[in-house]
Parts: sequence; structure tokens; C-alpha cells
Amino acid sequence: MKTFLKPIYAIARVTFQEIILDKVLYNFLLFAFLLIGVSYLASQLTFIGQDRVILDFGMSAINLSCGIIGVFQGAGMIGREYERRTMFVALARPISRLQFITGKFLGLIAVLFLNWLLLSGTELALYFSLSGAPNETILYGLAFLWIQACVLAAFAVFFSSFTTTSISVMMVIGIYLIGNNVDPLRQVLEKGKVEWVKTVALPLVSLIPNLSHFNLGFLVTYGLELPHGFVWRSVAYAIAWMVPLIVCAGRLLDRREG
Amino acid sequence: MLKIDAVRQSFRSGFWLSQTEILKGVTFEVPKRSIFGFLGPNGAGKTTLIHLITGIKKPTGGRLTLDGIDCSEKEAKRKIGYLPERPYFYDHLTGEGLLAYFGRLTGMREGDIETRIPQVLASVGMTHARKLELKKYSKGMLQRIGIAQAMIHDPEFLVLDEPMSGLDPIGRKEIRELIIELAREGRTIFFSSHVIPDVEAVCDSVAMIRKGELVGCGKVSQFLDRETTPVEVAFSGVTSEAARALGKFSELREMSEGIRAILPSDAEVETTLRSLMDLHAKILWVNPVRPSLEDAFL
Repeated sequence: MKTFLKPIYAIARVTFQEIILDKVLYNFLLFAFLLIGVSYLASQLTFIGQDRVILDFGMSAINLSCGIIGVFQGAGMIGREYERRTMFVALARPISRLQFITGKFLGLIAVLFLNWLLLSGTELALYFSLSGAPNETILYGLAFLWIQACVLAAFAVFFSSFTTTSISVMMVIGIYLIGNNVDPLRQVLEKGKVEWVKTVALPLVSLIPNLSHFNLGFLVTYGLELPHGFVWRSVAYAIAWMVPLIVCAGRLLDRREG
Repeated sequence: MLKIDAVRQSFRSGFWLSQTEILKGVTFEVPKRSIFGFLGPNGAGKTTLIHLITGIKKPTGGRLTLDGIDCSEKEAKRKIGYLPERPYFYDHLTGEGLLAYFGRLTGMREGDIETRIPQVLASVGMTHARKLELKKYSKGMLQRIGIAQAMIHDPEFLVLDEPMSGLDPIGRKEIRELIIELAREGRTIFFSSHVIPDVEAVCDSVAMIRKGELVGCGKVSQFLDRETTPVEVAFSGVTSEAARALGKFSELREMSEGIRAILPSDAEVETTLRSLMDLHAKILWVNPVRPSLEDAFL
């Protein structure tokens, strides 16, 4: 087990350092900080519910920043390795492509975690400075933003194992847009009158990741308690998507030529 | 040591994903403790074969074994050190960081990595740059650190893909000397190049491919041994017509100081020089023309 994990750790570490030193990352981070700053200004325009404005704006900023970093870094990851041929020297060592891609992915989610930690810390500091009430749901809400970014990053890495960076980015954006609307889509289909459309489309909807599992929305804004078992179900759901995606990416990389 | 047996490799390319054959049944062996040169023009399939040897890819057909182990097996990979063509590594890493990274990928213990790093850095003459980030390295330094990463796990078999490409004459000479030094330590070295004199200067054996097919393979001496050696004679004080009239030279060219001519065989040197002196020619120089691999392969 140790011999399997050691190269993964080495790859993850180098990937983490590489992304951290990428100047593009700082643009996204700065953008998110600016949005959080704007949320403070916006909160000053209202006399009541200032903490809610901060939360809404801030969480959107974190969601956007983590999502963009996950998608863009993930989508370019494998293509960059091929282009610079850095991957070939690594694959000439006694490691599998699955180990390589897992290491790359773990490095990326470590960067996402650091980004999330910085932004969430700022967000919470601002929230509490405006006398926001401490509540568990906010922490879960923030944590699920990171988990959602990890799922999107897994999709980006998966797509990048067989297609170009730009196509990968477009596909993940598509997944994000549809994934956040899976429940309404299912409801529309269920209410539909044409039976064969229901029979064909409903199983297809199940193949789309339901990102509402990571979106606590009004539960966070109003500090409501989470339904029983929501946290572990959502975490399991995220893992159930990420693991097969990375394993498939490893398999696809085996078949990739050039 | 390395056995390449009827290796074929095809890629799908184009809109219809039609098969393009890159290697067409290549077969040869690399003996242990030799410096083996792998020649071929650009696009001949050298890097493809190297990717198969290093286990980066699997062949479409045939078999590659290193000491009887399939080259795609982890056990074989542990015996191989690989320097890619135009090495590009993560440039945020320092020389030491890069070596530690590849040591970990090979499964070395942390203690062994720490012991080995100064040794390999010293052997490639890069101790001074161990703390320097790779983005600050010159091309020659990258090539050297590339060789160092290939050696970090002390492999028996080194595969160097165009190790002298893009280097200036001094850099080429240094890498040549390094290759000889590595071979002296008992390693088998397999290196590819499209520059024949580079291969000729250091190799014991060579193989050449062209358009994916093996053109020749064997000891360098086997290609260089000839029954007769041509000789270049330079002289002045005689017109080219008079020199041609002697009927001895296979080539003749006028230059500012006189005439340069080639005698097809060294057996005729004495008689030709005597004939030239009878014509009151001044002999400028006489040089045997050493046979080269270029003559053998091209």
C-alpha cells in the first residue's frame, strides 16, 4: 500500500506547488476577495439582514473562485503534461497512469482547499464582525462549496484525459449548469404527458450529477438545521462521482496516443 | 540485455482514425555494458521505440524484454533510467527537488534519496546548482540534470533520447565525456541521435532505422572496416588538367592554394606522389580519409 501511495503523494505535492506558483490562480483569488469586499459594501446599503447579504455574496464568490480554479486547472492538467512531455518521464518510472492522474487530482484539490480556507476565513471574519450568529449550517454550506469544486475538478480531469482543454472546460460548464437544475428538470419530465419521453429521459437525468446535494442555499441564509443524514449522504454522493471519474480518466489515459 | 523482437507500433490518425504504422517489425539486441547508438533521421520512429523500451507505451505487436522481463513491467522500469528528448521538467523545482521527486516515483526510501542526490549531482558536475530553480538552468544544465534524474535510482540501463540535441560544441563534448564515464561505471547505455558523428564518437554498436524499418545493426567497427582507405592529397604547381591526366584521382577540386584530390586507395599513394613530383608539384598535405558511419548508412 505504501509503495502505491508514495508516488501519488510525490505527484500531488509537485502539482500543488506548480499550481500555487501559477499567477492565474492569484487573479481568481483576488477576484474572490474583491467580491467579498463588495459584499461588505452591499451589506452597508441595508439596515437589516446585513449578515445575510455578506453570506450570500461571500458564498457566491467562494463558489465562483473554487469552481473556476478547479475547472480551468483540471481541464488543462493532462494536456499540459502531454504538451511539455513532463508526463513521459514520470511514466517511465514504475508507476501507473492511474497513480499519476490520482496524484495530479489530489494536488489540485489541495490547492482548492487552500483557496477555500483563505476565502472562507475572510468570509467568516466579516460575517462575525457584523454580529452574525454562529451556526453549524454555515460551516457545512462553506464545506460543500469545496466539495462541489472537487467534483467539478474531477469532471475536468476526466474530460481532459481524452479531449482538449477548451472542450473540457465547456463540458464541465455544461455539467455545472445542468447539474444545478437536475431536480427541476426531473419534475418537468415527471409531469410530462408523453410516456416514451419519460421512459427515455428520466434514466438519462440520473446520469447527470445532481449538484443540489452541495448547494445548501436558503438553509445557510436562514441558519436552518440540515435534514438528518444530509451531510454524509452528500459526501458519499461526491465520492461516488469522483472515484469512478478519476479511475476512468486513468484508463482513458492508457489508451491515449501521442 | 535488451531484446527487441519484431516490434510493431501503429497509431490512429486523421478524421477516419486510419492506422499509421510507425515501426515495422524492428528486431535487434543491445548487449550488456555497451554504448549502443540508435540512429535515424527525424521522424524515423526513434522516440516511439524509446517510449516502448521505457514502458511508457505498449507495442502493437512484438515484444521488448530487458533481462528477460517485459519492458512494460514495473520490475523492468526499475532497471531503466530515461532522459527524454528536449527535457522539460517542472521548472519551479530545484535540482535537488527534481531528483527527490523522481527518487520517490521510483519508490526509493527517503534516506537513500538523501544519500544518492549528492552522488549523482557530483557525477554530472551539477553540485553548484543543486539549490537553483530549473527555470534558471541553461540548456546544457537541463541536459545534465536530466541525466542525473535518470541515474537517481542507480539503473543498470540508461536510455538517452537525443542527449546532445540543441547543445553547442562544448556542451556536446561534455555530454559525450559524461556518457563514456557512465559506461565506465558498468552501465549499458542506449542513446538515440540523428547526428552520426555523435554516435560514431562514443558507441560500440549501432542500429539504424529509416521510416520505421531497421536498416542496419552491428558493431561500429564492422561498418568502418574497409579493405582500402581513400587518401586526400593536396598539391600546388600543377594544373588540374595535368593532374587529371595522371588518371589516378577519383575526385579533384581546385582551391586557392592549389588542388585537393582524392585517391581511391592508399596503395597508390607512393606512385601518385612520385608522378606529381615528376611534374614539379609541391605537396601540401596527404591525409587518409577515415571511413564514417555516414558512408555506411547513407
